[in-house]
Formats: sequence, structure tokens, C-alpha cells
Amino acid sequence: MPDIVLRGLTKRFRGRVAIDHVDLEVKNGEYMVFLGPTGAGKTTLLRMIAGLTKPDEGDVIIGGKDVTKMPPEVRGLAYMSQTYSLFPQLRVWDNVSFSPSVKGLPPEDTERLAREMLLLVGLLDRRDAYPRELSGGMQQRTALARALAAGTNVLLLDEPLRALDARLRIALRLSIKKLSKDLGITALHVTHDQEEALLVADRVAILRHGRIEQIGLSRQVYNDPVNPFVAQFLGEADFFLGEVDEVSSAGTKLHSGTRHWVARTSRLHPGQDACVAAKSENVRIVRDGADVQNKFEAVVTRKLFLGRFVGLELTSKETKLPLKVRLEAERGKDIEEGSRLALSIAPKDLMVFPIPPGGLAKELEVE
Amino acid sequence: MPTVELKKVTMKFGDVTAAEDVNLLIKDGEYVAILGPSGCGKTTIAKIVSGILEPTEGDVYIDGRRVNGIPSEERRIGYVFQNILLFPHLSVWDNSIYSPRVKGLDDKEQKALGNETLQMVEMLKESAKFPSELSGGAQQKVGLARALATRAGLLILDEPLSALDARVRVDLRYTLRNLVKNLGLTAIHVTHDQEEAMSVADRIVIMRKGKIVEQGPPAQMYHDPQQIFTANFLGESNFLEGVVDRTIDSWAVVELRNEQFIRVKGNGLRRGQAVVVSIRPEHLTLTKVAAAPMLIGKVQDVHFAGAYVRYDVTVRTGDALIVDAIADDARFNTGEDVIVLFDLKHVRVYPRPYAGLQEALKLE
Repeated sequence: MPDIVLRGLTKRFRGRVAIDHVDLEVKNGEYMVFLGPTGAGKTTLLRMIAGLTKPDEGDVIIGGKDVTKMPPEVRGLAYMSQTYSLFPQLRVWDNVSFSPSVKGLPPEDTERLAREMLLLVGLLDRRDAYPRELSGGMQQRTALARALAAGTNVLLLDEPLRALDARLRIALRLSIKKLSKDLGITALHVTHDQEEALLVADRVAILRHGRIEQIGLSRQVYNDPVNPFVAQFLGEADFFLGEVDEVSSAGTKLHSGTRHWVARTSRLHPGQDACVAAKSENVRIVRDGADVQNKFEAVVTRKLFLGRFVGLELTSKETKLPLKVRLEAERGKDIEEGSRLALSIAPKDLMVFPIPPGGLAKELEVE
Repeated sequence: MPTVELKKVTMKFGDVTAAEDVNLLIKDGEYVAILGPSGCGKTTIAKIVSGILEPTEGDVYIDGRRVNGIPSEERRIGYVFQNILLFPHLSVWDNSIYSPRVKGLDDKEQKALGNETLQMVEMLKESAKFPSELSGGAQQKVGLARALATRAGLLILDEPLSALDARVRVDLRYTLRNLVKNLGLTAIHVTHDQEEAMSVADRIVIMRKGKIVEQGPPAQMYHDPQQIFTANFLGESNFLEGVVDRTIDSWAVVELRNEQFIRVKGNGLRRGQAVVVSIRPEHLTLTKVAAAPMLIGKVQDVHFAGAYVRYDVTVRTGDALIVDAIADDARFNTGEDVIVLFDLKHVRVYPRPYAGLQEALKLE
């Protein structure tokens, strides 16, 4: 049972904290994604689990066993790097049957294992090719087959799709998950791509500055972010500032200038300054005369075509900060730059947070 | 600002043909994205326009002047690379005014240019910093400022955002389009990222295997792709193979696999014709109530993707479909029987490709 437990895991590089007291439990067979911007510590965290980077503090426990001081090769994990690290001088077959744990097997077992893994990733017919003769997607699958051939129960994936073309990434993003679910293994997948993370994860851990900001099902972290950073890092969100008037289990009443808003309930208290947020697809266009809560007006400053969606940028006196709205392409068809729109945000879609330490602008930085 | 024209341009590297008989006209002030998978020839085209490569055959015109044989530095082009290539030992300021064309100006003009371009990319405050002190996105802004400082009317952007984080990429593409449009530049933007191409460009040129597959404004290309490769490459699509069973007025009934039938708008289709029915995942709807046109299926998996929920559904034809429901609270569960409704006005029917569907859609 390869449950992974991290306790107080900490790593500093030249005095700078890369991972800051991370606690985490990953269940057997779970597909866990570490998501965050560059420099958040995702890869460092993965490398500490793999045994490739030594933690300064804390423990790594795999399958009930403390492996913190053990070298990578005895941890029973498979690690796939961003760049795949295939041996250029070896054929696909030899790359896959290379792993030390495979090498220790009798030849017929090695043969069987390599064959099985290549069949699994659909590359048995390319067994004699050299890596340079393969497309990017095939190289990735070779690396995956090699990682799996180690006979592991835990697969560590560092940006497994990053080296691929955008369209291919979309086509392949669910394939690794499917494979690991079919094999019943536990997987940790590092990415900076939020859509990829939401789509493939059983649970997502969102990292920033070496800490886990939030962890949960894709739906939870998307719909109920714990802070403005998470709210805007997943998808796209709009923000404005206000002051709380009243909080009850039914909702939070607040105002921004002379304008009043009704939002989700919160733990803020009357008089407290608040940061108010909504996902950009939850800002809805309504009829001029519609009798709905949180109705306001805005002017379209820019319209962007995004395929299935149309992205609008708007300015509104009511929120002061510029707004982004995401519409289904069909609905956005007739809207033009300069159009004045009536908008509304349902109270359940309006989230309220305390003003982050350092201010809102700093909180929303993604680099 | 300059126009760019390629006439019958072919580029061969030994036995490999990187671009084949490419004809392309880019208008004054137009923002064109060249989109395609790795190895499709898009970067080759950018390099031919900029003069880094000399085409094996064909002619290149910039602003009506044939530029074959004319070196890069005389073509008045600003170039932004994927690898940001700032000089690590120079400050942001010195990097921004580095190009030889700027270096030739007097101090006062240099200063004015540096100020202006760094201001445009909102990096003036960081003038004294060195590249190593900047994030990837900020570095790329300096790369852009350096290209703009040359005052070139033609900007070539070769995968300018590919090295950056997804989130930063999204923010920067707004910056790019705004700058190009505000300055009235002509821009050629090479990318493999379809959403990036759609959001920045006036026109998208899709390339595959050294040739132009299709071109047009983003919305037209997305909603009414003429080529099956485009339907798949720009956005995602479901494809169902079948044969036209009969035609009635402007309608056609297509027999899909396993004796399943679907009625489509069928102008120009003829009985017995092998076709591929295509529809995007957001134009399919799951329901419990039968209506036409539809296929019966079963939910295999449900994935939450933020602004939408994606269902994997197998239908009675045996095909696996993807269905995206926007603002849907995952109303259907794995294993549930469902009806998949087709939004007729978004159904496209293509002749079945000679080399087979797989080959026609291949991404690499």
C-alpha cells in the first residue's frame, strides 16, 4: 500500500525557502496534481519524494516506511522528467528495458515486461527506433513505458506534457491518467497548466511560495477557493474591493462606494475591508429591465475570440477595477467593443475574502 | 507599414521539404498567426521572411520590393524569439536599446526610444535590473521592447510565448495584440497554440507538412472549417464515419456504424458517398429526452474542467465522443444512459479523406 505521507517537509536553497513545512497525504491509487506558477516549489517537492533532492527538515513516508534517508533506487518509485531523459544511443526497446530493477530480472522476464509496457503505450511496433526517429508524443510514451517498466506502484511525473505541442497536449492529457488508473498505481503529476490540472486530477494541490495554499477535488478548489490567489489562478476571475456591512448564514452584505452587493456567506465581520471575487463565466449578461440581484452596467473595451468562448474586457464605474467576462461563443456573437451591457452576478457566485496581506495586486501576481 | 508576399516559396533541406509552394499575402497592418504542429514549416516561413533562410525556390516581397538575397539587417524587421535571448550582463535598459539600428542613433534619440518602448511594455520601472532578476514574462517583454525599438514596421514573433507559464502566456497575448494594433504594425506570429492564435490574430494560416491547409479570420475558421484537419486542430471535434444513405431536399441521412442513422444538412452530398460527420464537443448536449438528431449512448467518465464539464460518452455507433457542458453541475454520472443531441447548425460533413480519417487528423 504505497500511500505517501509528507510531514513538515522543508527545503532551502542558499537560504531561500523552496518548500516550507509541507504536510500531505496521498491515498493509494490516487491521481494527485501539484499545480502552481514557476518557482512555487512543485518540482522540488516531487524530487524530494523521489529522493533526488534531500530535504532539510521533515519526513517522506511511503507505504508506511520512512524513506527520508533512503536513496531513490530503493524507494520503488518511477520518475519521469520533463525532458524524458531517454538514452539517445539506445533503441526504444533498450530504453524501456534499461531500468536497474528490470536489469536484475531474468532475460525472459525483462523481455515480457518490456513487451507489455510497449504494448500498453502503443509503441511495440517502434521497438527498434532510436529516440531521434520518434515524434515528441512517441518519445513521451517511451519515457512513460520506461518509467512503468520499473514495476512501480507510484509514478512521479514532472510536467509530463510540457515538451509537446499545445494541441497534442490537449489530446494526450487524459491518457496518462487513464493508464495509471488501469494499472491501479498512485500518480503525482506536476504542472503549471490549470486546465490540465483540473481535468486530470482526482485532487489538486495548489502551491505558492513553497506552501500548499489549498488541496481538494478539482471542483472544490475551483468553486470554493480559499484566497484570491487560488480564485484567479484557476480559470479567470474578477475582483473588486468593498467593506462588509452584515454577515449571516444566508450571505454577506457589503458595499463598494455607494453601491451595495450581496455575496456568499463568509467569516468576515461588519466594518472589515473585503476583496470580492467572481469567476469570469459567472458574470452574466442580463436584460436591461431584469429584476436580479447585483445588477450593474459596464462598457465593453475589448472582445477576444477564444474558440468556444468569447472573452470580453469591460470597465464599470461600480467595480472600478476592469472586468473580464467569458461567454459561450454563440451568446457573444453580437456584442461589440463599445457596447454597454447590463450584468449581474448571483450572490452564490460572489466570493468574499479578507484583504490579503501585501494587498490585492501583490496577491494576484503569478510570477 | 509593410505588406509581405510569398510567391511559390519552397524550402528544401537536403531531402526534406520544409515548405512547399507556399503563396501568402499579408496586408499592411495585418496580424497573421501561422499555426501548425511541430515540423509543419511555420518557423521556416518566418525565417524566410526575415532573411535568416534563403528559399530554395520562389520569391519574397516586403512592401512590394523583392528581398531575395537581401540580408536580414536590411529588411527592417523586428524579431522576437521563443528563447528570449537577452544579454545577461546588460541591464533591461541596455538590452532594450541594443539593436544595431538603435545603436547608430545619437544619445538623445536612443534615450527617447528606450523610454518609449520600455514604457509600452510597462517595464520602464525595471530599467536598472538585469535579466536574471526578472520573471520569464518580464524578460519576454524586454525582448519585445528591443524589437519595437528598431522602429521596424514588420514584427516577426516566433513562438514568443511558448517558454512561459500558461497563466503568464494568457496575460501577455493581450499585451502583444494591443501593441501591434496601437502601433499599426504588420505582424507574423508563429505558434503551435491554437487558442493563442485565435486570440491575437486577424487571420490564421494553418500549415501542415510544409503546406498551407486553410486560412481565414479566427471565428470563421473555428465555426466553419473547410478542411477536416482544421476542424480538429483548431479547437476539438468529434468525428463519425458513415455513408450517405439517402438525400431528401437539402437534407441527407447518413448511416453511421452499427446501423445508426443521423440526419444532417446535406447540400451537395450524394447517395453512397463516404463521409465524416464532425461536431465540436460544446455543440453536443446530453439529455434524457429523445429529439432529433441524436444518438443513444452511455457516460464513460466525467471530468471537471473549470468553466465546463467534459463527458466521455460512447454511443451506439461504437464511437467515443467528448461532450462539453458549460455551467453544468455534472448532472450525469459515469455509467448513466444518455441521449446525445446534435446542434444541427454546427454539424459539418466532410468527404471521407482518401488516406483515412486517422491520417487526415494526425497531430504529429
